[in-house]
Amino acid sequence: VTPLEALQRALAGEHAAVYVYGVLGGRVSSSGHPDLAGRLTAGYTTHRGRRDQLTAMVREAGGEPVAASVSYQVPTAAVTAGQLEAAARVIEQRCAEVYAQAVGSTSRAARRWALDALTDAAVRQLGLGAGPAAFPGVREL
Amino acid sequence: VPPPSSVSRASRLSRRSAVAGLAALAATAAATVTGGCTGTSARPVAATSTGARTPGRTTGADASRDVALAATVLRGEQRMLGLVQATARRHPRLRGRLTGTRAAHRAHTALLARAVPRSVRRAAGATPHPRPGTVPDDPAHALAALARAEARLARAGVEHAVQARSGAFARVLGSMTAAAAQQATALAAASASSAGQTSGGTGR
Repeated sequence: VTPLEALQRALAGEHAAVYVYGVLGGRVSSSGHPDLAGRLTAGYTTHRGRRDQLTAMVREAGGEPVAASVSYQVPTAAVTAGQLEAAARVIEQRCAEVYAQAVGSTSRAARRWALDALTDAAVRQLGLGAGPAAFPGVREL
Repeated sequence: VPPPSSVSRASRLSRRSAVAGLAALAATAAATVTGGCTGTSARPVAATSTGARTPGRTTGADASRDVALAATVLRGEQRMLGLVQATARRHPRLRGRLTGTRAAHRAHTALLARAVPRSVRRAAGATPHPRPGTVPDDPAHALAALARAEARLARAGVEHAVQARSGAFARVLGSMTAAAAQQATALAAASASSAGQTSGGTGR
């Protein structure tokens, strides 16, 4: 995987994350579950920011940024607060995996950026009901 | 925060294949250091369309630098593990809460130890132990101190992952860094909730 390919994969992951967070945010009751609503909004904002940064990084590396799909499958049949939280958790797990790959496929500034994104995805999972793991983002460990 | 179930869920087989990359790294480095094999050390560094080096194509010299880096990371992880164990000894009531933290750092040290040849570990010196009296008397303060140590480990981990020559190694180091950041967050939250209680109840 070249550094550019790794950035494109991360961008594709962020397109999905932005879409799913948008759907989840639309389903949560901000009066019934203000905490969760806040965390979903924060997740949406963060991933939208990373998507925009990655778009710029791909262009800078001489690539044409991958476009978003028309729609994405929301990970679980997310209706209840618990299901919405679980769906967001899955998104963060996938992002962590993509960013761990990016750490291995990039160097210097891009790797540092990927490390920051990996750590953020791992820590964000804790706020979505996950426990700490020994090797976040590396499934085979 | 529930304890990490994924730590124990990892299958031995897939772990072995993931470790193979690090073990190969150590073998290459050992061969380079002893001058036994120079077959891979002359391989040119791959260039990419972006002009950046593609990590993952490691030369013998790169590998020996990565092994030295692994030895440094190993010492940091051992120091952290020692601090977690010292905290559990000083505060038996926190033992349950610290099970997952200890398991994560044990997994890290076990993995790193396989990448670092015995000779390199011997040259690096004895396993560091925390000085007596380093663990605060108050359980909430002890958890906060651990959280700060985890945050320091995570910050150092970023620098180590950036320095790694092998992409596979950088990925593992990045994951360990994220794990330390998770621990820092979870321990800080545990410290805050433990400080909010008058006594006990901090188990799990």
